[in-house]
Amino acid sequence: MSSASVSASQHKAPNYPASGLLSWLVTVDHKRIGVLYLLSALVFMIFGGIESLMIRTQLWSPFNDLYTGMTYNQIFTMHGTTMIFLVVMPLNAAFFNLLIPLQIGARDVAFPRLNAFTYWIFLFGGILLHVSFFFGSMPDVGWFGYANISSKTYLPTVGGDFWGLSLQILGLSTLVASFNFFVTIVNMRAPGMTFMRMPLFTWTALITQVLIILSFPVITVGLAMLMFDRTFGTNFFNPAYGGDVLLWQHIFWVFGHPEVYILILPPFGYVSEILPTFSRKTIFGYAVMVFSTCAIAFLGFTVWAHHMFTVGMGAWANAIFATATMAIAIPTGVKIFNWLFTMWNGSISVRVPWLYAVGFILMFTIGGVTGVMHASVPVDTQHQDSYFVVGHFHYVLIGGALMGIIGAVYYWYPKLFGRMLNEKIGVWQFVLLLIGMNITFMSFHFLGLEGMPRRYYTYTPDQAITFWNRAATVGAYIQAVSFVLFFFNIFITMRKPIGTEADPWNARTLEWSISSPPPEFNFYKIPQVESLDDFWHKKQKIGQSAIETLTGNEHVHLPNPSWKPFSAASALMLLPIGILMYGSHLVVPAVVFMAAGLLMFIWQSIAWALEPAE
Amino acid sequence: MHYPFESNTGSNVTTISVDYNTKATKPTEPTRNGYTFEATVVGTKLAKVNNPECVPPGSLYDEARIEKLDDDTYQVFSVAKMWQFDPAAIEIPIGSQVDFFLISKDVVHGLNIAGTNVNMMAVPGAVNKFSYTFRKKCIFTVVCNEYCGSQHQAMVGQVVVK
Repeated sequence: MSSASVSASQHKAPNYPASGLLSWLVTVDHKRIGVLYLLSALVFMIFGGIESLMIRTQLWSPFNDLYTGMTYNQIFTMHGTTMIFLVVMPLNAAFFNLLIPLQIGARDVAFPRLNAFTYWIFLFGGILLHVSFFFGSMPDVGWFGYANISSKTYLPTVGGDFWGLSLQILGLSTLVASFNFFVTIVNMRAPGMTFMRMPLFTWTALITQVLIILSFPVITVGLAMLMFDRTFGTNFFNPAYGGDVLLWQHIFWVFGHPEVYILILPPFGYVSEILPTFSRKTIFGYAVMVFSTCAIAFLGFTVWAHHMFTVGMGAWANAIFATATMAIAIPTGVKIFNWLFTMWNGSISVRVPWLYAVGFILMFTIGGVTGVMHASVPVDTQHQDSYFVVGHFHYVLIGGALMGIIGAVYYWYPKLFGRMLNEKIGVWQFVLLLIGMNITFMSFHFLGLEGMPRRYYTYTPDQAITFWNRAATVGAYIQAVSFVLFFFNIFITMRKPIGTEADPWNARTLEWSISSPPPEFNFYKIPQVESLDDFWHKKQKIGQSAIETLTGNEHVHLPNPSWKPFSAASALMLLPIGILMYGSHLVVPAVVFMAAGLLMFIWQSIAWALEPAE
Repeated sequence: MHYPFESNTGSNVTTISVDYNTKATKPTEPTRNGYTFEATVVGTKLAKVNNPECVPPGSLYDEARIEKLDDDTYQVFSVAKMWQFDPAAIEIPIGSQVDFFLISKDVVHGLNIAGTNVNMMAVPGAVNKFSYTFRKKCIFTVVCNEYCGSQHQAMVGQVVVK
């Protein structure tokens, strides 16, 4: 530790690069790691988006032969896996990283090097999934990889191994990161910031971490069983030898349903931050918002079997899961009304983040209504595995989660990069996105009602579904234009000089009380919090001097950068490569890779533990 | 009433039909070759047909067939496999109730009669059951809605209601 009245670069051990490309490999700064998450997720979003365009192009006309069945199946599997695990989750992780310490008045997360480690294994896991492309055998089992089509018998290519192992790695990354954020929020809040004075985004982040901690171990076990089935010939999911196919479905959805709340709760948080700022009002019913988030998380664990209404569980089980599912509509509805009441009688300024927040409410409500429809078993049996369901979850995950995330990017961009994104382009992007999404995803509903099942790569002209398929494709390209505008906006903004004021939106939470972009140590003086929306109230009392100026003189305690997270993550990646080789009967190199990976990982971990942190 | 029996892969036990409120006599025990005799099983119930959840996995039937129980009740024992339904098409008179049973020979399939509530997952190693009364004259398309491999979209069937 060293005392400082100057910039943080002084604290760095001299042998670590302080700037340039290499400095990103050794960084443990939560803001830089957040930026890395953001960048990687946006790159993966380009992949996922191109895959969706490929799907929609294939479905433009009946009997289209752009791709054969298996190529199409690989594309939709990669699209689903990418959008969920490599786009929406890491985008949320980016905001956890960027915002949690700033919102709770901390200088970094609880375990900064572990934080860097989770980013690197996330990146390597994502790359591992995409490496399967070069083996010509991407996974083709759908994003939930139902047993037993994911078994070695029915999927002999390495695609299934790539899928299972990369999800395992991504799950590890998410799980480790969630412990980190959980400890950060519980332990590192500024003095006076009680739980009930925490910003709502931090609250949703906290609850999301709880969901991750409780649900990800389940999929870890499931994927391990699948990997054992595929690599070592066990029979967990092989009915011929007493295995149970439905076991996978239960395991997957015990994880998979909390997973959708893991995706959507953080966007709830963004909207809960954006709306009060642009309504100049405190959030309506803060405590109810907090407890409805908790209620959604709790109920989220009681509803998994509503994905399985058609497997023949019997009327009782179906009725119980249907009731629990309907119950989730209550806390969610409470949230929707609270957002509306937050705007009610507010002095609304129509800025781009506000547009996205309102678009989020609209789209999420449409998706939520169809969600309640599915809760009813007789209705669900008409929709199960049809395009209607596809429409439902695209409304909540793309119209909901992704819309909220883009709003968050517009809202916090000036804070994180010191530059305002162009608002004119932002409005155009929003309008195109809203129109495109509604054309595409509403068409899905009609396709589903016409009887088009999921994951069909072609159809015939006499099925009368050509029109809605064409509409969906047109909408998809409109969305693509919108995202091109988004990337263009980021591109031109990054060429502008840094120069945004600390508090461009006249906002309410602590992150706006420090300069934009924040200094490496975030807060020169750790703030003393006295109420909810503390910064807003201080502004009312003492005006613009509530914004921190860099004149204090306090100890600034920052961890050193380190190579260890990166090197340990790289070592860990030798293990899945070894397992992949083992599955392809290259036993000797497989053992060499696994042993080398394990030894290097242990070595790097010990070196990591012994390395002085500051 | 009709009582099909479960013979646990032994010799076939034929379905008994009795009138309502009359007693059914116990059929002869099924036998199975290739096993050494160890003990007689006493007191185990014969499987009930209307409760597929209670049936030991994959043992209710093996071959697809259709049974007419009376003028307006049918039982369809269907088999899903890559990438076809067996029977691929059925024809029934309007107003009849059909009990669909469904097993899978390989991977998880779906059986969805588009435009109706009939939507069943064919789970290998288990029997799924759903009853539906057809009240509309129509040719319904049966589709597999659970992704099952490269010819997933070619796995179709027909229910003709006359």
